[in-house]
Amino acid sequence: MIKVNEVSKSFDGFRALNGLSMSVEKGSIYGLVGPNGAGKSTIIRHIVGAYRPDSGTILVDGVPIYENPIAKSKISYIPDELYYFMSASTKDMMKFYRGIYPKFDDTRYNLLREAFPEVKETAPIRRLSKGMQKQSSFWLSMCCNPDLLILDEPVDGLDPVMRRQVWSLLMGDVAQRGTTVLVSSHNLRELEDVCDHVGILSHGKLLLQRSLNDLQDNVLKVQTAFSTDYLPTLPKELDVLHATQIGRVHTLIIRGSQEQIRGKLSTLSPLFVDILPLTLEEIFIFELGGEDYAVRDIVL
Amino acid sequence: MRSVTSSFNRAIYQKNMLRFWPIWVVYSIILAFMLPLQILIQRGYEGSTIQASVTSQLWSMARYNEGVIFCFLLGIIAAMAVYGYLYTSRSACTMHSLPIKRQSLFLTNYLSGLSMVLIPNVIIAILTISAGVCRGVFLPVPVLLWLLLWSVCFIFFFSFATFCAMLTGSILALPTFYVIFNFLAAGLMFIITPVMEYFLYGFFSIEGVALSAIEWLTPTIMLSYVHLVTFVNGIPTILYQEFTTLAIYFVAAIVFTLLALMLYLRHATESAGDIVSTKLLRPIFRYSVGFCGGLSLGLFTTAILHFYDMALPLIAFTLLWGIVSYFVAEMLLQKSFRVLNAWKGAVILCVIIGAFFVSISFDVYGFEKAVPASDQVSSIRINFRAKHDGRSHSATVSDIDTINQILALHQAIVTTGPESLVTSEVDYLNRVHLNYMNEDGSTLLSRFYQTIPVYEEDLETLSSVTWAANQLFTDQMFKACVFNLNPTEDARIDNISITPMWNTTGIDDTLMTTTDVYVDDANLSKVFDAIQKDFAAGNLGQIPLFASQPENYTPYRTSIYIDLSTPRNSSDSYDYLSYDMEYSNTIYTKSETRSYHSSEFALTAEAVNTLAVLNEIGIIHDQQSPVTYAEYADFYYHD
Repeated sequence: MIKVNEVSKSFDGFRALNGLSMSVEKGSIYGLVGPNGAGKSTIIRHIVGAYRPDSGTILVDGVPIYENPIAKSKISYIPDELYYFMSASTKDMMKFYRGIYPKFDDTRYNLLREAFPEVKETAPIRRLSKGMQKQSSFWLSMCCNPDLLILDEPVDGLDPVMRRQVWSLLMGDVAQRGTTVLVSSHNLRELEDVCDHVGILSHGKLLLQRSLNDLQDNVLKVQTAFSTDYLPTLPKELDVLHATQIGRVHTLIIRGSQEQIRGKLSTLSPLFVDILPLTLEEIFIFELGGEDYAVRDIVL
Repeated sequence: MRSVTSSFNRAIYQKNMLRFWPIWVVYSIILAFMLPLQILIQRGYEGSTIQASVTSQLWSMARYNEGVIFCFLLGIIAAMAVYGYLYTSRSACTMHSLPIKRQSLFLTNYLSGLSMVLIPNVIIAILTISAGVCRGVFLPVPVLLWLLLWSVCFIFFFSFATFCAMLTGSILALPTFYVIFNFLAAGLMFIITPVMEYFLYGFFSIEGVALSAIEWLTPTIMLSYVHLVTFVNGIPTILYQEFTTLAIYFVAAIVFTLLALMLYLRHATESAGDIVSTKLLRPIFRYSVGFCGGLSLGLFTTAILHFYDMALPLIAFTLLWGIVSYFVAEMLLQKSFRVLNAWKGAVILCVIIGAFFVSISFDVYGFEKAVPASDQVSSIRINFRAKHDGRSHSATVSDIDTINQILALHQAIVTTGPESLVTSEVDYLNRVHLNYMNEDGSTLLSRFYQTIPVYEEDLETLSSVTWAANQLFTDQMFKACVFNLNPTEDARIDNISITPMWNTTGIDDTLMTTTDVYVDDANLSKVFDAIQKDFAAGNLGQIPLFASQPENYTPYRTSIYIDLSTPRNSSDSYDYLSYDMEYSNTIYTKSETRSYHSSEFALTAEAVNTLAVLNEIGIIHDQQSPVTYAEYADFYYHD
C-alpha cells in the first residue's frame, strides 16, 4: 500500500529524513516507532502528500502521492495536532469533509454517533476537551471510508475505555474493509497489541521493519547463571545486544533463534537457562541502544 | 461521486464564504449606507429638485476614486482570510493533505476572496440603480462605471495581496509586506532622493520616466488619480483615457495572480511560520532590508545629529544601520538572535552600500549632467537671484531662443561644476532653479542651491557661466517674461504697488519714514503703460550681474510690484454644480479660477515715463519720493 524509497528531507540544513525506505503491506497495521525527533511525523506528512521530498519517491497504492488527489482521496489522516476551522463543530466539519472526500459515508456518520456519545455534535470543536476532539476526528476520519488510515499519536488524550473502543473500530475496518493503518505512537505496549508490522526509525532512517512475530522471535531475553560469579566468555556466534548481572544471574539480550541460543549456551554448562520473548518496548530500547540512544542500562 | 480533480472545490468555497461572512456582510452594509440608501433618503440640494440632486449624486459616484482605500484594505483582509491556513503548520499540513490539487485550492480560495467583494459590488450596483428608479431617475451608466472602477481596484489589490501571501509564511509578515510593497517605489524615492540631492550638483528630484514609473509602481496613488467622469462645460463626460489605467492594472492583477499560482505550486508546506517562504527570495529580503534600513536610518540619524553637509557621517551611519538592519533581517529569517555567523552577508551588504554611494557620487546614471535637448523642451520655468539685484525672480519661457539661452546657462553651470567663492567680494548667482516641461509631458527639475560665482573677465568667454548668464539677463524677451511686462491679451492687472516711498522732508533719521503706496484701480493701465515704455527703452527691468551698474541706470531703493492674473485653462475649473435646473438638463457653474503672477523690479531715475505718471497721479510729491542708494546712504551716514 505504501512504498517509501530513499526519501530525504532537510529543513534549513537539518536533515530530518536521511534516505528513508519503508513499505507497508495492504491490510496491515503498521506501527511506526522511534525516539523523539526520529522523523516519524515528517515521514507521515510526506505520505499524506503535505510535504514534498527533497529526493526519493513515495508511492501509495502504486502511484506517487504528492499532488495526486485521487491517491489522497483514499487516505484519511489524523495528525498529532488536530486542525479544524475556528468555531466549526463536528457537524460542520462533517459537511466540509463530505464535500471533499468522494467516499464520505453519511450513513456511517449516523451509525458512529453511538460510538462517540460524549461528543457534542454541534458544539464548536475547540470547546471540547482534548480527548473529545480526538474522538471527533476519529469519527470524521472513519466516515471517509479510507483505504489507508494514517494516525500520528492517535490515542493520546483518550481514556482507556475510549482507546479500546477506537482500536476496536479500527480493527473492525481492517478486518471487514481491508483498511491499511499506519500508526505512529510512543505507546509501545498498545502498539504491540494491535500492530502486525513494526518499523523503528532513528535519525531519519529506518533501523528495521519486520512483522512483530519475526521481531519477537529474533531477539530474545536470556536469564542464566553459571558456577562462577562472572560471565564466562560467550561464543562469538552469539549476537549479544545487552548484558546485565544481578547476583549470579545474568540477563542477556541476544539476537537469534531460541534453539541456536540454547545450543551455544549449553556448551558453557550453565546452571540454568530461561529464554523469554521481548516486549516491543524492550526491542525498541535495545535496537536503539546500538544507535547511541540514551537509555541503556535498564534493569530488566 | 464528487470529482477530486476539478479546478474548483465547492466545499472549500462554501466554507470560506461562511467562515468569513463578516468581511462581505460589513462591506455590504457600508456600501448600502454609502450608495442606495443615500439615494433613497435624498431630499434635494438647496435650490434643486430631487431628481437633479439624485442625478448629480449618481454621476459623482464615478468621479472620484474613494474606493481605492476600501479596496486597498479589503484586498489584504480577504487575502489574510482565505490564505490564512498557510501560516500555521497544523493547518497547512491538514489542508495540503486533503485530496485537492494545489491549483484547485488556490483557484477556489482566490475566487472566494474575489467573491467577498465583487458580489456585494454587483448587488449594491443593482440596488443603487433601483433606488434611482424609485426616485424617478434611471441612470445606470455612472453606477456601472462605479462598479467597474471599484471592482478593478479590488481585483488588483486582492491579486497583489495574494502574491504577497505566497511570499511569506507568517500572518503578521503578510500585511507588512503588502504595505511595504505597495509603497516601496515611493519609499525608495523618498530615501534615495536626498542622497542624490546631496551628492549630485543641481539634482532636485526624480522626474520624467523614473517618476512616472514610481507613480505606476505605487498603485494606491496611481489608482486614486483615476476619475472616470469629469464635467466639461457643465456636462458630465466620461474620461475614456482613464480606462487605459484600469486596463493596465487589471493586466497587472492577472500577472500577479499567475505569479502567485506559480509560487503556490512550489510552496513548501513546512515554510509555515517563516517570514519569507521562498528560499530564493531570502537573500533578496535580507539585503533589501539591510539597504533600505541602512539608508533611511542613516539619513534620519544624520538629520537629527545635524550632519547636513557632510558625506562621511552619512556614509558611516548608512553602513552602521545597514549592518544592524541586515542582522535584524537575519534574525527574522532564522527566528533566532544568534545570527553573527552570517557576518559574510553583512560584508557583502557593505560592499553594495559602498557601490551605491560611489555610483551616485560619480554620477554613473548621468543625472548631474542631464541637460535636455532644446527640441525636447516645451517650456522652462526659471527661478534665480543675482547678488547685486537682491531680488528673487522667476519666469516661464516657451520661445525657442530663450529656451536655448537657459539651456546654455544650465550647460555652463553643470560643466563648470560646484565652485566655492574665493572671497566675499566675488559676484554670484544663487537659487537657480530650472523646471523643464518637456514635449512628452514629462518634467525635469534642476535646482542649484549653491552660489554660482560670476566674473567680469569671463563676460566674453563663450560657454562660461558668466557669459551665458549675461546673454540671458540682457535678453529683452526674457526680461519681459521675468517682469510680466509682455502679458497676454486676457491678462488682468490686479495690482501695482510702489514701495517703499520715502518721506524725505527732513534730514533727521526720524523723519525718513517709508510708505507702501498702491496705485488705484483707475490708474493701473496708465502706470503699466508707462512702465512698459520705460522697459522698452531699457530704463527699467535691468538685471545687474555685477556691482558695477550699467551706464545711465540708477536704481532707486524702491521697487515696483506688479500682480497680474490670467484665466486658468482646465476642465477642473468646473467645480461647482448648480441644481436649479430640471434633472434632465442639469447645469454646472464654472468656478472663477485664475493663475496669479507677481513680479518685482527696481524703479530707476531714468524711468521718466513712469516717474511722470506717478507724479501726475500724486504718488510722487514733495513729501513722498523714491531715493537712490546713494541718497539712502547719505541719509544714514550724514552727520
